[in-house]
Amino acid sequence: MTRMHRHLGPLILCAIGVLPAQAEPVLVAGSKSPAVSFSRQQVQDIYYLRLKELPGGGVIVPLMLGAGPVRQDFLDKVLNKSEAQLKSHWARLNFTGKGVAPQQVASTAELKRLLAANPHMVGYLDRAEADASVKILYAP
Amino acid sequence: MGRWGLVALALCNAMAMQVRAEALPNWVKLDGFGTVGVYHADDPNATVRSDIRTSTGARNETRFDADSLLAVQLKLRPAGPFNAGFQLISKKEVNSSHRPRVQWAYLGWEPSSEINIKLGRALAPVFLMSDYNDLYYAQISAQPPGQVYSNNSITFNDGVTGQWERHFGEGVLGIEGYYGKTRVDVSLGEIEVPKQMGLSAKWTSGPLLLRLGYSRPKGGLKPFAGNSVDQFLGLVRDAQQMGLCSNCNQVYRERFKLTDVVNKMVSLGFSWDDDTYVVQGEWVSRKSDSAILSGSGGWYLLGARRIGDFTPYIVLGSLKPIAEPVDLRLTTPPQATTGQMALLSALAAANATNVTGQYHRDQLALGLRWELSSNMALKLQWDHYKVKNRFWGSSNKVEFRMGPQSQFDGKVNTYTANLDFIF
Repeated sequence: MTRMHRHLGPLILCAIGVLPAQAEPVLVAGSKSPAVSFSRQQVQDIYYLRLKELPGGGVIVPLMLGAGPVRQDFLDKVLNKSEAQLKSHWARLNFTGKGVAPQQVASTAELKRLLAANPHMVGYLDRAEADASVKILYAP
Repeated sequence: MGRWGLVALALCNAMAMQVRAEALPNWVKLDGFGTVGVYHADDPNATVRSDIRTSTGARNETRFDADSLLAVQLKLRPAGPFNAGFQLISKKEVNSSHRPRVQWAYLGWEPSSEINIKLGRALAPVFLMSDYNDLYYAQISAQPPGQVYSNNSITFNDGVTGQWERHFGEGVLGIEGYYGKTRVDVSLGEIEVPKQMGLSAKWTSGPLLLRLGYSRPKGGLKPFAGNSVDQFLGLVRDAQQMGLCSNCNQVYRERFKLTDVVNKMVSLGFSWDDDTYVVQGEWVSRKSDSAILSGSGGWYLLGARRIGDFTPYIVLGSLKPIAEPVDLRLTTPPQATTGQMALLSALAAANATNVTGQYHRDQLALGLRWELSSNMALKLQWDHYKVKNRFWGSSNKVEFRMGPQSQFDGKVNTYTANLDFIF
């Protein structure tokens, strides 16, 4: 297939509106969280386990959604790392006793439940799913 | 059951362990890592070891026992400032055993998010990647570049290890220190270190990491019978007894000491990783008060580019000794026998090359890392070693026949294929 043909397919699909909408991942915390906002660098530092404390005090506990388009877009647009790179980074910390990889959560509903229960937790979801139970701390 | 049967069993256990791990509470974490590796060295006159802590090397042959290893760890992190860790690793050791050894057994205390103190056995952070020295999955190249990492064979510290980290602006400053004791078996013999300490500072800001390290182990070497050190010291003793050397006893005592040897290592390291390009380098200088566990200096530079699941890379490096001449004062008797002449010739060579001058070597490596899945990577690597001053002895990495009869031309290639995984 030539390079032009490779690009034509998605363009045609896009034109007729059949491509799935891309997720817009945003970093959120429970509505009672003391955090106000983070820069992109701070979000990266949270998930690289470099930034461990909220500005107002308290240990940050990052959460990761399980495999899916929101996780993929969060890796691509916010963390700028592949799944393998991130796992390799976490493995360095985990297997040297310097950190623990973020807890994995299965669904957005579980994420919201955990965020509501612990104001030190942060996670990400699609902006369309951000309701009054969470506050957005970073949007790309 | 053969060795590969054991490896298969270990992998099955690892997978079963992962299933069981999912049933554990959040504060208990059970996981592990491993490597299945094969390598080939192409020279019939030189043996190349993958690691100085293993007994065997390849001489014009293919071997499966170089980097292959399996490790499991248990971490307990209940609520509160205390935690604990235990790690077992099985890798072929100098005594050819795969018996698992304890790599970690510590009680941790984190009074704040900035301070982390461990009491017990923890990894000794001597160089940039020392604390994940055996975790090949987290490294770009097949092994840590030997031109720096073979300057230190110590892996763990029995004592206290502390880390302090704080954000300053866009960066993070980390200070890490350790104090305690250790022991390690290398191809030369048993190294017992009753006292060691180290201190390092690390600055991380975005893609940039800078590191400065200092470490000071004080210990002794008990050479294995019949190896090159043992043979050499035997020659020095023989020469003194035969009256062929006027100062061998003194040199033996002052320069060839094997106990209370102090090594001082200073290292500088950096890494730039912008998620596409990676450049990493380290330099080390090791000073020693013994010509046997001698001083040395080394460096490497690694460059890599991530292209989807593939990461081609190149490594350049060099290692050379730092040692004063030993100056054995030799005398040739008028009626010297053939044996005496051979002995004098060997000791003269030692004088000419500062005893340890044999291991000056340069390295070029080209490799490819392929992410097979999010927890498994395949690495293919070609290494070319060029050994200088090869008249006397052998290095800890490349071994060859001593003396003028040596047919080793100083150049050897190795080919490595490693499958690294975490679970």
